[in-house]
Amino acid sequence: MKRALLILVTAVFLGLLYIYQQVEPVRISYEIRRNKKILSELKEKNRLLKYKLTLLASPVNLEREMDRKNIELRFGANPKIVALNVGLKQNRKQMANIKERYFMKEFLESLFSREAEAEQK
Amino acid sequence: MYTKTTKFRASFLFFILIFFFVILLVRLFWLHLGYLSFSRLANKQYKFTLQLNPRRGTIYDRKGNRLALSLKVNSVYAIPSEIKDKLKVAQVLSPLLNLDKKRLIEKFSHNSFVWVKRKINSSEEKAIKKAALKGIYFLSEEKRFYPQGKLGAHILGFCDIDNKGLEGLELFYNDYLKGWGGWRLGQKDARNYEIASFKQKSIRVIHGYDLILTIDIVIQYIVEKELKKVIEKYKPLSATVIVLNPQNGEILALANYPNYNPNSFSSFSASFRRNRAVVDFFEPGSVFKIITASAALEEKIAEPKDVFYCEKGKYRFKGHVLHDYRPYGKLTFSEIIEKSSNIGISKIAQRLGKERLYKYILKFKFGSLTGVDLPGETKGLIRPLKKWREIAMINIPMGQGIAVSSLQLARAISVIANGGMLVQPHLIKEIKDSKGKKIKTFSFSRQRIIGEETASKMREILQKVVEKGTGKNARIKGYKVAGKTGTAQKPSLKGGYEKDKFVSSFIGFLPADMPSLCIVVVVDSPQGKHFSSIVAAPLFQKIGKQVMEYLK
Repeated sequence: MKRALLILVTAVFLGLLYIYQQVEPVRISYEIRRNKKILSELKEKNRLLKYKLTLLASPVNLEREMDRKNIELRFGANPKIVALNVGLKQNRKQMANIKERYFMKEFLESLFSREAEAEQK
Repeated sequence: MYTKTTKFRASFLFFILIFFFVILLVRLFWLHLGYLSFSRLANKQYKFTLQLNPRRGTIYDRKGNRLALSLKVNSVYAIPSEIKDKLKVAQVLSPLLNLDKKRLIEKFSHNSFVWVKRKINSSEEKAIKKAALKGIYFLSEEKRFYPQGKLGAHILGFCDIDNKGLEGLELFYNDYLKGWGGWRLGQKDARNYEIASFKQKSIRVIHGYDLILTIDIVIQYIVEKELKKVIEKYKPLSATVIVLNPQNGEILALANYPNYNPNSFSSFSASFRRNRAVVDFFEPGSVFKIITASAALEEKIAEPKDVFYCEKGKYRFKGHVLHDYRPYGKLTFSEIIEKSSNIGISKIAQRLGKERLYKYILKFKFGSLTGVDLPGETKGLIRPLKKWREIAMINIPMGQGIAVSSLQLARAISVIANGGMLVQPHLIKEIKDSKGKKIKTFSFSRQRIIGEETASKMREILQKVVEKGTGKNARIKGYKVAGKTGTAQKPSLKGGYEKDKFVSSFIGFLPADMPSLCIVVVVDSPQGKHFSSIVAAPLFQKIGKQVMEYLK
């Protein structure tokens, strides 16, 4: 009796496993299809946005906008090179100080806030 | 105890059940194995072949700005058998899609699939969705868009409703741009949803390749903006500007007037869509003196300081009279080009001889295709030497009696600019696939046709043309400019030349000592003023100045 029960339980388990194996890929396939659709929609949206960006950045549009806002562009006079009175060594020292000061802060931030930031995004 | 009757009944029932089980088993076997069309029917129900359409490649300028791209839009189709009130549906659709009602009713007289309107805009789509008409559906298709509008229209060309290139680069590189379609064998469920399968049978779709052009959209914009000003001022029949890199033949800008918007090409007539820089030819006039002078210097029959007598403006030659615009006495070879003396250049050509002149015309490849990657290019018109008339030696050296295209002139001036090499003008830089991998790079021919020394002498002469000759209006502050003016009378249909119709042209390059730009300006029949020095040279100057500032 016990053996028969064991066989029955095993058979039912194997049967359910078989059904699960058959059903799960179909379920996943629906998920894949859904995600693929979202992906293709996003890609298309991306293309559309790039198109709109090109439209906005086209020279004709920029000129039209400049006319509308009364902005006048002129060629610059001869370029001037301004040399800052900071030595190279001094500059490097300053950079190193800044890096030291902010290292710990950045490190701690990177440990605790990245995930939250990502979720927020 | 079982009686005999009970046993018989049990056995009878048992055999009946066995009999029915056997029938069921036979039926089961028959369904599974015996009757093949069932599996075919089942396959038909859940298997399907999906055709995968390729996306047409994008066209970029040299800096990566998009010039032509494809986007998905909806097309409207109908299944007339599903439409109950066809008249009412036609009445609703007609104003929404701006279509004729009768035509719609005619379309609905079919039973199966019929296009109502392809590639509709978003407002039309919203309106139809709102109307929610039965039997009217949407199908996603790709449509070609040109975000720069009219800019570079003649270069890009356009596509038909099925995204097949009809003009310009869209036509010339259609085989690269169109891509290759694929298919996939899929499975679907009862609701017609596709079930993803890991063992799919498919042929991969290959999207169209992207073209990277030599064009710079900013230079193109400068050219078209300045050209428009000249059009408004002189109202010519047509005009063309080409900006070329003389070192390698890369076309940086090419513009024509009249032009069109490739986004709505069908609303422009064919004359607006003609790429005049490539398909039209004309008598070049004095700009052709550059070829005669180069030939004379190369053959060493004259030097820039040699003196020629210019007959005080009136020269009789074999029964014909040749005039100069102003009477000149003695002029040096260099001054003949500077002042654009017709008599002077004719005398130089006579010293050269017609065989050698013809040889150099062919060397500069007039009368041949430049090989530019645009459809419909003209060879121009050069008569064979045998058919040259007596007058040829006074009119061909100054650019009459022959016909050339603007692009041929651009290539010819490049020879002087780059030190004697004939380059192949072209628009394509490279071809990439949709993942950015290089598919094809191009190398274009370079062929020496005149010596470095000749080209250098010509550069000096052409520089003088701009400094103190007819091309003064082409001077640009801060740059050495070289060039040549040309004001050619237009041939009349009745024979001879029109008295009041001219083609004004200016061809030149800058900086003269290390040229990086060649600019060709051709203005056909300007109104009011017709001299090249007034019409074409200032346009050259404005374009040259802005382009050099941009390239700096």
